[in-house]
Amino acid sequence: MRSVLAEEQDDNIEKEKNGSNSTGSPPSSAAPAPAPAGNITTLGNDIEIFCDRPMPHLNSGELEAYAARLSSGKMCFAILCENFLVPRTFLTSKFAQLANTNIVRIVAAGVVFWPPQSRQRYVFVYEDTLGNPILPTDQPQALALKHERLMNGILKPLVVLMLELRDADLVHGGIRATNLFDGNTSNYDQVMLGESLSAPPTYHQPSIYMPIEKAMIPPYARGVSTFSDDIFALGVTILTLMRKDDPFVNMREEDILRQRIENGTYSFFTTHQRNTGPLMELLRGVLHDDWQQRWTIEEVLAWMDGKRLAPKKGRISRAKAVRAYEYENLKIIRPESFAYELQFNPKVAKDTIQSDAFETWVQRSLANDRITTDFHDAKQSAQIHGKDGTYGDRLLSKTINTLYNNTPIIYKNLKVMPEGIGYLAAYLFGNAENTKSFEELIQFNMVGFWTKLAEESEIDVQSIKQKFESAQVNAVQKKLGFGAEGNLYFLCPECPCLSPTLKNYYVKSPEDLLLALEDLCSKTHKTEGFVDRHIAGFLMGRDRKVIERELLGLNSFEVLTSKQALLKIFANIQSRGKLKGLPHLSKALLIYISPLLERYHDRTKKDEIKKIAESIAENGNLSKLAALISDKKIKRSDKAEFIKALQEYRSIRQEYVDLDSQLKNNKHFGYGTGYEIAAIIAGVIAGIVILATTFLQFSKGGIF
Amino acid sequence: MAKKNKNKKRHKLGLKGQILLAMAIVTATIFIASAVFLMIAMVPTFVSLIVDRSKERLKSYTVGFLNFAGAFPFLLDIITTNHTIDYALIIATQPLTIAIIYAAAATGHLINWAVVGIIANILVQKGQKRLSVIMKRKATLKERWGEEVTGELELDADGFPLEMEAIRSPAKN
Repeated sequence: MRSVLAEEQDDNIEKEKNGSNSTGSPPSSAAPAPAPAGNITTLGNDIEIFCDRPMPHLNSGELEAYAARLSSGKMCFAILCENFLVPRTFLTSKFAQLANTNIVRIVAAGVVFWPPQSRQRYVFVYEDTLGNPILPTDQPQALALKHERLMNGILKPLVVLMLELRDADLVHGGIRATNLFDGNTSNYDQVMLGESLSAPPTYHQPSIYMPIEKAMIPPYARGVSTFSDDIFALGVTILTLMRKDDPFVNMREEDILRQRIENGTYSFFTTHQRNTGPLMELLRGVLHDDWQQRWTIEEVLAWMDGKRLAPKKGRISRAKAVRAYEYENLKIIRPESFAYELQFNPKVAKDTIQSDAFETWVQRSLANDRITTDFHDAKQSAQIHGKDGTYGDRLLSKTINTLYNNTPIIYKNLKVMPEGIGYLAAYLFGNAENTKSFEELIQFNMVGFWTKLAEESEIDVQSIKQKFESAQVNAVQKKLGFGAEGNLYFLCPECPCLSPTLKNYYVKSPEDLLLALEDLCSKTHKTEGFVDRHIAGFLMGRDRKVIERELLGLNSFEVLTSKQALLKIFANIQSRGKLKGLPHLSKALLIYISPLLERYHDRTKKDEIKKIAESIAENGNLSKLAALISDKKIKRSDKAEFIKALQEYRSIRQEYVDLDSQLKNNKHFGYGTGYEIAAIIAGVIAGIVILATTFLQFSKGGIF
Repeated sequence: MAKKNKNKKRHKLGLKGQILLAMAIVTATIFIASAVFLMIAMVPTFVSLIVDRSKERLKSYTVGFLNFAGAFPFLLDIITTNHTIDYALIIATQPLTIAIIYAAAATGHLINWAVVGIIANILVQKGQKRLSVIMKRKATLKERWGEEVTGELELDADGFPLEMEAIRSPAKN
């Protein structure tokens, strides 16, 4: 078994600095390398992925699997990720270190050029040891496994694996019947658990495998998965494998959830699925809707060892109204059910919760102090931003949370757990969907009310609270690096850059960004659009240091300042990442920043600087280019000399005007000097005459 | 009235002038023969002083210098031989003497005319040459520093023409 990713991940940065991708493949991770031959693409130097050999039975949800091969000849398969379904890349090395043989072994992960789409894709390469799925997705979800086989073939290995996962502080997030494989053996001798890293946590899990509160949410918005969720999923998996037929095959998801909320998951499942035997005790423990009462892995192990566990005492008894509230032809008694129903018809829901009848029902029929107080708080906090057009939506969202603690935030068309907001944003932006509701959700800090309620349930949400307070500040600012796009990368640190400019690239670091732009510039005549809201937000989220100092300039209304700031940011990335020359990007940037090169008064110096800049761009050194453009000494001396020239010009122009006027209008021009010279000449002559006369007078003869 | 007072003020001698005038009068009184002779001999200079309205009265100096140079041999003769008013008058009234002295003064006038003409011509030539040098220098400055060096364009804080502001429009990000 290769101890792959641990080492490879460590080497990533070094390789990336040298322009190779995370797995050591072609010159750059961001620059797609051409496929070596036909329909084969490579990851690193030793993994070939066959683009024309799909392995649909190994698909992870809608993410496709393709055959792959190591240089040693060992067969593998690769799962192709989508940019907007943010893969859990940060867990690859941890998963690779697992020694358990009942989980698919990860071989490598990284960016490849995918010839069929002519773009980069992130791939996870796994050893092809899974075999066939025990229960394919296109078959009825029931296997009628006998108790002994289920215990020995499935449950025991899975519990051992989960124990190992727990010890490694890992959550699988993909434990389900359709993700179990036979490991190419018969009789479930080597059951294998499939992958779960290729998408956001629990993305591939059908809602039935999720606890109620997460089952209400679209798979991309479930957020961070907990180990308790894995325990729950284990229970549903066991239940699925032991039943003879699928009782939910014709049931709508909404109805399943409605009944789960009303009756509790375990009761609902066992009502529809008549099972008996010792496993029911386990299932009652692991399918508990309250995660705090759900069994832990130790309790599962204890049960497997034959210990009989007493049921845990519930912390809070479920509230129930003394009088039913009639809503949408339903007679509702439980607040949780009311909360669930409120999400379906927002218009009616908003009118209902603002009615006196509802308030009376909450205060008198429900008569639950916590809910009454929280509903009052919900109304007050919804009013903080005024009673504008979104007031009803805010109140509805908060009322749902009040009535049903720990439910996701349901705001307008969004249903999301606070930890899943980042993944939700990636999904929305990646699919070019309307992000207005997402922006409002952050701006109105809907998470703040959720965390307040969670704190009442003694859940530690301090970090979530702080994170969303920062996000709210970001959301208010509309400048580059902030706003909705800034929050996307702030709330989802693993998200690759989703800029439309980089749609054919998988950019996961600032260095990748430069390499992608270098590649883009080498193929197109791109001379502008090097930064957009996504790129700025991505840099803010990934490496604030490269952009923070230049943010003010980047957001400047003066194009010259923003161009200069952009050049400095790219130069910072190049020098911090110790990237080699980027000649294509440098040349494109040279055109982009050409107005900056015009900002020299001295034409001779300007031409000289242009030549130097061209030679620097030729070598692709952005740092030198930025240093040249920002050289204050040159600019200062240029300005000083220009001021001198300006003064000289003014002076000689005045001299010209004066002199020309004198020559044209003064008939006696030069007479003054003439008089002076004449006087001097006359004086000299007179002096000579006087001296000569005196000499002659006093000589022997005299003058006369 | 005020103008008259001003003129009066201008012609009024200062203390220094008054002392010099007093000394001249004393000297003339002592050397009365020489003074009488010079009063007659220096008539062209006095005329020139009256005619020359320039501030510096340089033309009068030119005439005066040569007028005095013409009179000086006769003055020296009077001083050294018979320094009396009669003798001075005799000398001064001789036609040859007057002709010589006044011819010298005329020479002064001639020198003034010729030199001024030549010098003015030279200076006009020099001025025209200077104009052409200035034109060339202006062209050189424009070539090196651009049209903005003329000061005829509106410049921004950095000294660049405001036309360049077109490229400083709000960033489209």
